[in-house]
Formats: sequence, structure tokens, C-alpha cells
Amino acid sequence: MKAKNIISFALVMVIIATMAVVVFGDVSIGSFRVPGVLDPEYGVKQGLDLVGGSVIVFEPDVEDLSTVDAEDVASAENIIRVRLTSMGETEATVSRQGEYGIRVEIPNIDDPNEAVSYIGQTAALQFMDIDGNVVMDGTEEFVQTATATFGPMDEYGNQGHYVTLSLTGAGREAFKTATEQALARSSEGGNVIIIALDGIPYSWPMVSEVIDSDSCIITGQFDKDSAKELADVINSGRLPFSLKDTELRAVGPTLGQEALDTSLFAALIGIILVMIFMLIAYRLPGLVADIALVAYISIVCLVMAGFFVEGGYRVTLTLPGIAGVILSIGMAVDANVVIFERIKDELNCGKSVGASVDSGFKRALTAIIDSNVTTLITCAVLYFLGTGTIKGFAITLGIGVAVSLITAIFLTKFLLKVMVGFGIRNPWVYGASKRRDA
Amino acid sequence: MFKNPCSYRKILLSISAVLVVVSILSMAFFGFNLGIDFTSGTTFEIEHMPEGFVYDGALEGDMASIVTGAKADASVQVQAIGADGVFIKASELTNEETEVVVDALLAYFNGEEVSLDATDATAEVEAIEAPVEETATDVAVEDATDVVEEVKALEKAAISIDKVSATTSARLIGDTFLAVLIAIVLMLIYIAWRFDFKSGICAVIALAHDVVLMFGFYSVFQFTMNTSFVAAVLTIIGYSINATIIVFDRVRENNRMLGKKATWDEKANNAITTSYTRTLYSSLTTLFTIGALFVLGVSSIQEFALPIIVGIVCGAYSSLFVAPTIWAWWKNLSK
Repeated sequence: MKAKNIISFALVMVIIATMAVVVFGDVSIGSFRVPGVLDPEYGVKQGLDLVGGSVIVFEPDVEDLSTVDAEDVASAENIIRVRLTSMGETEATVSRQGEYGIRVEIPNIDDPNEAVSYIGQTAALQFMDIDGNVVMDGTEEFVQTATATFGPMDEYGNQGHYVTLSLTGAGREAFKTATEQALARSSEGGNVIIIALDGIPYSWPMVSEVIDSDSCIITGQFDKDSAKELADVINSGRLPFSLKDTELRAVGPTLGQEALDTSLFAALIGIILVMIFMLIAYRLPGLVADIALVAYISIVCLVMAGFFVEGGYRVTLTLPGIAGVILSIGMAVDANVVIFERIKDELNCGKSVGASVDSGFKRALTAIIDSNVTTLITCAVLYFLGTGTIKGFAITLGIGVAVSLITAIFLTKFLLKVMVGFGIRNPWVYGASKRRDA
Repeated sequence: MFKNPCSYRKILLSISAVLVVVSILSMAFFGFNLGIDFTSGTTFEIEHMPEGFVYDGALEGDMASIVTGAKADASVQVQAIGADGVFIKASELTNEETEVVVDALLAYFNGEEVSLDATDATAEVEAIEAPVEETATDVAVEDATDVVEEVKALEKAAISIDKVSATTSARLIGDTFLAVLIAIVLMLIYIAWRFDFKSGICAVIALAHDVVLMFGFYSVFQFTMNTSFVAAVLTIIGYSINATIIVFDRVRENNRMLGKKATWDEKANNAITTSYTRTLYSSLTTLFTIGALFVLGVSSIQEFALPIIVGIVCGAYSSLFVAPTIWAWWKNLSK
């Protein structure tokens, strides 16, 4: 019995130690490197309030948002992507916030105001010849619409993605002249029409014949997304609204680093205090709780880093997110406190250590499950209804509560039973009020 | 009193009632110091001012005139943060106005005379640039001092800017209110199912008590309220219910084991007294971590930690002395 206990105890300790090393490590064994949870590439994604950067939310600048077409917002979103790329901000992310908002996150940017005015400007879409002379602009006067389509592209019936461009009467005229002139310059390679956004060439389809039609198609090596993007860029010339920035949050990189460092230091101090407290308050079970706490923190970090799996879901950690984690540490300890109090009660009733551990757990379980489920309900509501920082907070708190349920119910129980199995059966070391013989 | 809380119900609940009334009165008469997340506006935050600058009345005035220089009719509030930081809250500024303020702040903290008149400013830039060219021969000497200067100077990236428009802030208030309401209804349903309906109502009363006191605390001391306060309130909603349920779990158990042998008051008293240690220890351990954040964290973290600390203290009180005592009183009534 004892040998089996020692082996399983040792095994669990090795697993916990390995997890802790993996999480906090950044250790190298030969060419094999363990990245650690704060590794920018493999670890937890760090929010802009930690690395510094700007969050800008744009919205259509109209009186009544309900008149805005969802398709047009999607187009505007794609225009913003194109502009960020041309700014060289390849790390930036663009996402939708609510129905009409477009959320842009740009890390490490010095001048957020400049970015706001560049990204939010009204799109200037132009069609040019090879020399950059404007042959037609992309306003409603000339362009009706552009759509991305999948279907047969030529007389042989080859299928592919392409963009259909519909023109107005004036557009048809202008396009006819433009294609004629372009075709005349085929010998020098001038048979292209440049589609430019904000004066920067975006796409340059080749002209193979004079186009005198209300609609024409642009083919090329498109996939579904790139065809959609080109259609959006062309449509940007006739977007019925301009964009305004409704929210801007800019944090400098030094400040972000300071926020991260101080929070981590605070977490360390807080955890050490909790561990010492548990040892003093509960003796041997306190030690068990401390071991469970190390496991708890490691698992939470692993989950947030997507288990370091390529393409796994990695949580973006923001300041409120860190606060959520640290808070959940306090709450994780709570489950242990509830269990140990119950065990203490049972011991003080005169039961043996083994029986006390068993029935203490059983009695504590309903309270722990009920109380954690209610907290999870709050997390779920926040996740689905909250935006931005509140959502981040809900995710980390939710992960924390879920993991704490697991470590409290399984790990703490296992470790305590092993301790009893070791023959440590003096009730005093389990927190009973008086020393007595087992 | 601690051994037999239900007998002291009137005193215990009066303490809560007084605090709740004070909170509500304060909210009615003094309102809140709402941050831009709720009111809309633009803020500038400099966590560390360069050496040689201290927060005083003169600096406060200068900061205010920098903002009004960019937009004449802007409302401005200036306050100190930490030992060497400054926080400026203005009404919503346009992109161009924000830029003017940033430039003026840089000029101010980097030792140039601030001119609030645009034409003067360009004249001065020229005046400053001119002598630099003349002393270009002393480059080596200049370089050495430059290194020291740079550390003390304020960089553009060290200014944090927040801007929230009126539509965004209106939506935040609406969304948050809805979220709280839905969370409470769901929890009520869960508790009514796992315990009984009266326990659910009492738990929600304790919860409302904690939340009102948190709001009251912010109203009385006029701390700035932002999104982080909302997140804190939501956390406490979860935490407070959590604590109440631990106590009600004891009540439920007593109910099952003692049945008609004990009065409602006795069952509640027993649940409360056996939960003292747990409530104390759990509150303490949570306060250790969140307190460390409050003491050591940056201002945005402190903004989040403070309301949680208040909420945890209130939650400990209400889970022991508000929810179970009301529950027993209600049960007595229905007999």
C-alpha cells in the first residue's frame, strides 16, 4: 500500500513540476527549447495595454446607423486592412465590434493620431493608365458595383474566382476610351489599367481587348478572399458613408511593460502570502493546498497559451485579464478552505483522519459546485454581452474558475488521501483543534 | 452577538441599512465622478513626468490652458496620479485638436516655452532651430549631454491617449445594465432550483447590498468610474453569491439533518457560526492577491482593484449577516 502511494505521489509531483517548468521556463535542453508562457510567439498573446499600441474603433459617420448596409461595413473593414498593409502595420488586427463598429488594433505605434486620420479618411479610388494618369475615378458617377463571383471564366468553361465590375453610362464611355488607349500601348507593356486606392496602386489587371459594355470581368490568380478584397476596394469609391473614430485607446510601449512587470510582481507577492497563510492556518493540508495552487497556476497558464500547440486557441491577456487571473487564484484557494474546514469539523467530532477526509470532501462538494456554477454563469453572461476588456476579463476568470474546480475536486483530494496512506494520521497535522491519538 | 446572530438581527441589518441609505443619498446628491467611458471625452495620461516637474496648482493651470488652447470651449479636469504623473480629462476632442494638445504637452515637458497661439509657435520653432545650426561644430560635446537629456525628456510614446465618443459610452451603459440584469435572473433561477426560492431572493438582496455599497463608496469618495469599475462590480456579483451559497449550503444541510427539531433561527445561527473561519480565510487570501495588485500596480490596475477590495469586505458581511438572517426572519413569518 505504501509503495503504491509513494509511486503515484512521486508521479504527480513530477507532472506538476514539469508543468511549472514548461510554463515559467524558457529553458533549453539541447536544441529543444521550452518557450514559457510569456513568450511572445508561442505563449499567451499580450494585449495592447501590455505591449503598448493603439486600439481604434471606427463607425460609419451617419445620423442613423440602422440605414447602414452590413455589406458596406464589411467593405470598409477590408479597405482598412489594405491601408494597414500599405502603412507597413502587418501585425495590426481588424475585427468587427458589434454590428457597425470596426475595431483596429495596432501594436507598437508611436503616433496614433496619424494612424486615425490615415485609416479613417474617405477612400479615393481611381483607375489610371500605366503612367498614373487618372482615366476614371471610382465614384457613383462611373462605377455601379463590383462583386466577387465564382463560376466559369472563359469560353472553355474553366471555373475560378473573379470580379465583376458594373459601370454606369458615363463609366462605360470612360472605360472604352481607357481600354482603347491601353491596348494601343501593348507593345511597350502599357496595356494595363491600374486600380489605385488613396493614390497607391492596388491591382493592375491587363487589358486584352477594348471593353465597350456595361459590365466587365477582372480575372487573375484570385482565391475567394482576394477576389472579395478587390471587389471591396473598388466599392470603397462609392461607399455611402465616411468613417469616424468613436473610440481611441493608446498606450505607450514603456508604460505597457511597466504595467506587465508590476502586475506580475504583485501576483508573485500575493501568491507567496497566500501560501504562507495556508501553511500556518491548515498545516499539512495547507501544504497540499500550496502544491495544488502551483498546479492550478500552471494549468491556467497552459490553457491560456493554447497548450503551446501550433494554431491552438491562445487567450489575449490584457490588464483586466491579469486581474481576473489573480482574483481567481484567491477564489481557487477558497475551494480548499471550504474542504479543510469540513475536514476539521469531522475531526473535531471524533472521527478518524481517514474517515474525516472522506466525509469532509463529500460534504464540501455540493457547496463548491453550486458556488462555482454561479460564478461561471456570470462569466458566460459577460462573455456574450461584454465588449473588449470586459470580455477578456470574463475569459480568464472563467478559465480560472473551471480549472480551480478540477484541481480542488481531484488534485487536493488525491494528495490528501496519499498523505493519509503514508501513515500520517495525527489529527493535529490536519488542523484538528487538539492533539489526540488516532 | 457572534454566537447568536439571528437574535441581533435588528442591529446587524440596521448597520447595513444605514450604509445603504448613506450610499443612496450620496448617489442622489453628489452623483459620481464619471470617467470618459461613461461621459465621452478625451483623456491624456502621463504616468511619469520628466524630472523637475512636480504636480502643483501652476502645473494644473498650465495643463488646462494647453487643452483650451486647442479647443477654446473644452471642459478640462486635471489630477495627479501616483508620485509623478498627471492625468488630463477633457471633453471630446477631434483628431486634429488631440494632435495639437500632444504637441503642446511635448513642448511643455521638454523645456520649450509653450505658446498657445499657432503663429507664435512656428516663430519660436524657427528661433530655436537657428542657434542649433550655428553650434554644429560642438557636436561631440553636445552628444554627451544629449544622452542625459534624453532620459529626462518626455517621449511621444509615453503619453497614453483615450478617446470615447458619446454613442459608444451610451451603448456601454445600456449593455452593462442588461448584462447585470440577465446574470442576476439566471443566478436566481439556479439558486431557486438548487436551494429554495426564498434563499434565492435573500442571496440577491445580499448581492444588491454589496453592489449598492460599492457604488456608494465611489460616490462618497468621488473616485473616477470607468469600464474597470463595471468589470469589478460584475466580479463581486459572482464573488458575493459564491460566499452566500457557502453559508446557505450549511443551512440546507441543517434543514435536512435537524428538520423540525430546530427553529429557523437556530439553523441559520449554526450555519453562520460554522462559516466564520471559511469566510474570514477566503476573504483574506483573496485580499492578499488583489491587495498586492492595488499596492504595487499601475493606475489602471488600481482602478480595478479598489472596488473589488470594497466589494469583498461588503460580501463577507452580507453573506454572514444579511442573507441568512433575512432568510430565517422570512421563514418565521410564513409559519
